[in-house]
This record gives sequence, structure tokens and C-alpha cells, in this order.
Amino acid sequence: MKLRRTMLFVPGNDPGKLLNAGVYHPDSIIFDLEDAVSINEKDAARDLVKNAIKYNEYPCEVGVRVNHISTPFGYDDLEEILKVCPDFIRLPKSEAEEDIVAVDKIISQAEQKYGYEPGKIKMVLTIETAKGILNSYKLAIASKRVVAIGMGAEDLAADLKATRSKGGQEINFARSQLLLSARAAGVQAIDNVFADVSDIEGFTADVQMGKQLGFDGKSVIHPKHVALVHQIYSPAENEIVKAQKILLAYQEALANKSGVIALDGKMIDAPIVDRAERVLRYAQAMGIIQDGDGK
Amino acid sequence: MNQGGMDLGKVLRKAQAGRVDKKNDVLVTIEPTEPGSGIQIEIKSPVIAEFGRQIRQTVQSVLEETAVDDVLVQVEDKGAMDFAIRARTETAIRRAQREV
Repeated sequence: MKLRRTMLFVPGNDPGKLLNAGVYHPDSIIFDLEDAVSINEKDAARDLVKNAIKYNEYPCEVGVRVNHISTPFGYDDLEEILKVCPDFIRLPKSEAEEDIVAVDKIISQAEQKYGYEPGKIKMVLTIETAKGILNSYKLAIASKRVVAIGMGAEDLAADLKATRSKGGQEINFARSQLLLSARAAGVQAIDNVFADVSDIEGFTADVQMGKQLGFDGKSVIHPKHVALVHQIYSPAENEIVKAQKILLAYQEALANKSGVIALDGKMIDAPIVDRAERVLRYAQAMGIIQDGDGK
Repeated sequence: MNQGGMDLGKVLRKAQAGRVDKKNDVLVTIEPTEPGSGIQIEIKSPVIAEFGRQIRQTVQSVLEETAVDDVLVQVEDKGAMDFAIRARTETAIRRAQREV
């Protein structure tokens, strides 16, 4: 599975930011046509993002947050952006399965029309309402294109009639529900944006909590957050050594056709192997170990 | 319609896209002129000596792709890359083609 430790939002109507988005080496770039673009400039941002994807080269996957299809801009966004085959569409305000299915269909039609490999363009959902959170598992399985789900914390807090706090306790249940739904559906869970970009201490604590809960990565809105998230998601040396030992024991057991696998007197089962593989993928992404070191 | 391009149509009115108060952006203004007058492109850019020809070619190619003729296009460049010049020209054309 592709690593998505950081999904960096980039305002869609700023040529300089679109040009330089790859410089910070996030795992994913999201060109934003929704909240970051004023209503009068939706058409201009759409053209700019389309041309940025068509003519620029980026070192990572590139997606586009389109406007929701219930707005006057959503269908136009999809029509123009799908011409240049983004890696994924990030769909805001995901709440109803029929919306996911409708967007999936539009993407399928575009893939056929332009001759792209069927299923190539993925979907990442942002869930921003109480109804969406309660429906999150069904949303995540509504289309095979869905590879990850995330949460729009500010909109959700407003829907919950909650007061936002630095610690984010008011969204704890939703955050956990999102993670449960993602795991049950077999898609990635992307932690929400931390809005106060100047509060590095609060941001760090928030990322650490997300990692502890089990999130695969975080949506970020400032480039300076990218390296910090990668650092926090980077496994410690003792975790890496342990993961390497587990995989080695697992591979030896497979080679010997041994039914029971043990390491240092403790039984190793499938979840432990999965966790070890995940640790090594993150370590490889940070360049701490080379591809093959865990094999 | 070409892939990644835009629909064809006639320029009906004066329209703009882009900005001059932002680095790496460009303000493109397009307006219809007399039938038969062809395409006129005026460029202001801090890098006109180095890139004036390239900017002109980019604008010209978007106009040709969209079959737009008999227009005056004014380009105020602030160090925009080719993709931004293309995009702002496309948006200006699209806006100029819209009925008021």
C-alpha cells in the first residue's frame, strides 16, 4: 500500500504555490479547488490546476480536492480535472453513498473517454458531518476507488455544535470512529488538519496522538509541517530492529514450512507480521533502511 | 475538444484572468476587435528580453487551439511559468466567451 504520511493542501489559484508544491516532498499533494478558492475564481483555479498537472512534474502523487457535486462547481471541476488524469480526487463533505457512486461513475466515464487504465484514478474522502462520520464505513466501501478517508475537523465541530480546543477532545469520538471505519473497510485513515500553523507544540502533540491512535498519516496545510510529520511517523531504531527480526523469523518459518512461529519465546501471528511490515515501510520511506533490509 | 484543452467559441466581450500583484502570476486581458483584424498580442514583462517570444508563442498557441481570432490580448507578466500563462489565457478566453 502506498505511504500517505502527509497529504499537503495547496491553494489552487496560486501559480507560485502550485509550482513549488513538490519541493517539500510530501507523500501526496492536494491541489485545492474548494475552501482555498473564492467563488469568483473557481473557473480560474480549475484551469490553473489542470495546466499545472499537465505541464509540471511532481515527485509524488497529485490529487485535486474538487467542490462537492451539490455545488454549481463540482461537475465542472471533475470535467476539466479528469482530462489530465490526477492520481486521485479528494471529495469534500462526503456524507451519502450515492454521491460517492456518482463521482465514481463520472471518473469511470472519463477513464474510458481519455483511454486511461480503468480504476487508475483513486478517491480520498473527507468526512465533515455527524451523518458522514456515522456512515463512514459505508462511504469507504461505496467505491473500489476509495483508498483513504479523512475528516474535516472544523466543519465537523460546527456540525456537532462543539467548541474547538487545542487538545481536540471534542472530536475524539469522530476521530476514533473514522479510524475504525477505515480499518474495517481496508482503506487508509488520514488524520485531520491542525489549523493553527504557528502552534508547533500543539501540532506535534496532535500528530503524535494521531499516530498513537493508528492513523496512516495527516492532512497538512503548511509546507513546514511535512518534515515534522514524517519525523514523528518515523519508527524508532528499536522498533525497526524488532520488526526486522520478526520478518526474518516469519520468512524462516515459511521456508521451513513451520506452523508455529516464535521469536524470543513469544508467538508471532499475522497481526504482528503486518505491524512489522508497516514499521519497515515507514523506515524505508525515511531512508533509515534500504529497500530489502527487512526481507 | 482537445484533451486537457477547452471548448471552442467566439469572444464576445472584454475579460481578464490572473493577477499582477502576485509573483509567478500573469494578468491576461482579452477583448474583441474588428472582424478581419486578426490577433494582436501586447506583452509587459520584467523578462521580456529573455522570454517575450516564448510568452507570445504560448498565448498564440492557446488562441489557435481555441480557434479565437480578431482579438487584442494584453499580457502583464509577473514571472509566470508557461503553465500559468496558458491557464490564465484559457480562463480569460472562457470568460470573454460567456454571455453577460
